[in-house]
Amino acid sequence: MTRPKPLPDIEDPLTAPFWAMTRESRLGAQRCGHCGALRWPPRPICPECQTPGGEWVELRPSGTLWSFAAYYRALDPSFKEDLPYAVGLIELDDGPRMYGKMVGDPEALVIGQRVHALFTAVAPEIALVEWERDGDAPDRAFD
Amino acid sequence: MTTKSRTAIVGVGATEQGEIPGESANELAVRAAVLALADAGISKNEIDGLVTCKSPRSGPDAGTDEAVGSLLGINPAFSSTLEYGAGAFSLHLAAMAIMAGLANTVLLTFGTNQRSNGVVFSHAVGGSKDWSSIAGLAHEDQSAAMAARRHMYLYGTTEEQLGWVSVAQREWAAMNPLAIFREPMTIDDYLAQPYMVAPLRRADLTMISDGGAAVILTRADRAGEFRTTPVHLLGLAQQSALRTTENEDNVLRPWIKDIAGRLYSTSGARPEDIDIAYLQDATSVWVLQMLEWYGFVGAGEGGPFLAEGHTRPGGSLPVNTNGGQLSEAYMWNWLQLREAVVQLRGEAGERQVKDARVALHAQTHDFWKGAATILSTSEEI
Repeated sequence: MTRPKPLPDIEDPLTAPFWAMTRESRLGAQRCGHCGALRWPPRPICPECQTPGGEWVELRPSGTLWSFAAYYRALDPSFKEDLPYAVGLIELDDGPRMYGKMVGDPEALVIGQRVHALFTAVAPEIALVEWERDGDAPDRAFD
Repeated sequence: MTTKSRTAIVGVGATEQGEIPGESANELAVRAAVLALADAGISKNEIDGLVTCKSPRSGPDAGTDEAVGSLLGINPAFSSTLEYGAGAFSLHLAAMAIMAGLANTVLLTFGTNQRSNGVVFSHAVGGSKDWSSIAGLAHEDQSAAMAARRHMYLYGTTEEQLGWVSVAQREWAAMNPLAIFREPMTIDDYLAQPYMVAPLRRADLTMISDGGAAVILTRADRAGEFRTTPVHLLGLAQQSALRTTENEDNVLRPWIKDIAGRLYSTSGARPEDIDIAYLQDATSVWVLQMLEWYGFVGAGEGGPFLAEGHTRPGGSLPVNTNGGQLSEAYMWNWLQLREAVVQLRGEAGERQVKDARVALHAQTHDFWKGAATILSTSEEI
């Protein structure tokens, strides 16, 4: 018996605002109310200045593929139907790096490609962030 | 600048490795401890320190000093357990206890029965609070695939070059009776393997195994009182990267270079002084990275260095001469510590590296921290 895919706990107070935003096809992260640092992943206090809390702000849903791992066999059996698939590490245009499932053929991926977010509904209240390459020629100019 | 040794390894022990059903992690830790005591030629009553290592996925009290100490029947002056006590971290804690005067002779031991416990890595580890699991990353070590891909992108490293990590270690393992995987594997065999998580294949990832390993560490000024040739700790260094994904580059792990810098400055050793290197290999990618960050080659030059065969038997820098975790056993770098000692003593038999005098023993806890030690039969470089 295969377990279902892991789904986020959308009622976790720390991360609920993120999932509320993805339901509206928006990408978010916390910004510290004291020092202004943008942070990802979510944390109860600012790692820069230790100020509690933080305001959720909208990020541009675009970035660059920093690296990726490609799956041709389901090391997690719950992802079997998705094969082949890749998990990307995306460097957002707004700074933070975020893991996300890549849409499409892993063979077509090249580090440095421009990517954009897709908001994919996987349950009535849950939309996951997935990433798709822009389709432009890969930008080989690193940094 | 050189630092004279303050602590030395005078005993090592290892159980058989592989699948050992019916024996708990703590029983394996004790069995290894008894072997290490015999190697040092002492009784358990001569131990006044105990460092144990929590055993992964082996049960709630697996590897605690309370559980292991009670099975050993000892009440040492100092005892402690590390949550992640993989080889170098336990070694450093024991050395600190001795240098602080808390103990004179410390037994360090580790056992695991995760193979017999049916542990598999093929599940999302973090569940609903783990962002990478939700994305389909099945295990944190699979970030090593991202690290390999990025190295290939930046430096043109090839899959074949990376493959030489595993192939070279298999050549060493063929000469190690303790090793689990000893059957020959050529670079063509390697390349013919399907991807586990591209660009990594089965041979790039550690096995899961049962076993025990133990070490006896004592004051350098007393090391001559034991039956074995002492192996001195000439430098110790650590560096954490606790901010993980928020660090500037968490896949290539450039913070390892900080460990190397501190290690070389405190020990007086330089990369060219090192005869044999033990680089913990949960994945082959970590070996590639550490060859570069420890200065054996420059950044990006690890691939060609591996393909030229420097790490193979007969090469200029033998690496993981026990076969490492990729071929010998998944023992969290404890067996690489044992192998360094056995090689430096000149007791490695068929796989003995001629005139090996200085060893590097280095490891990382994936993306969180790293530790390394310079070991030598000499008291200073």
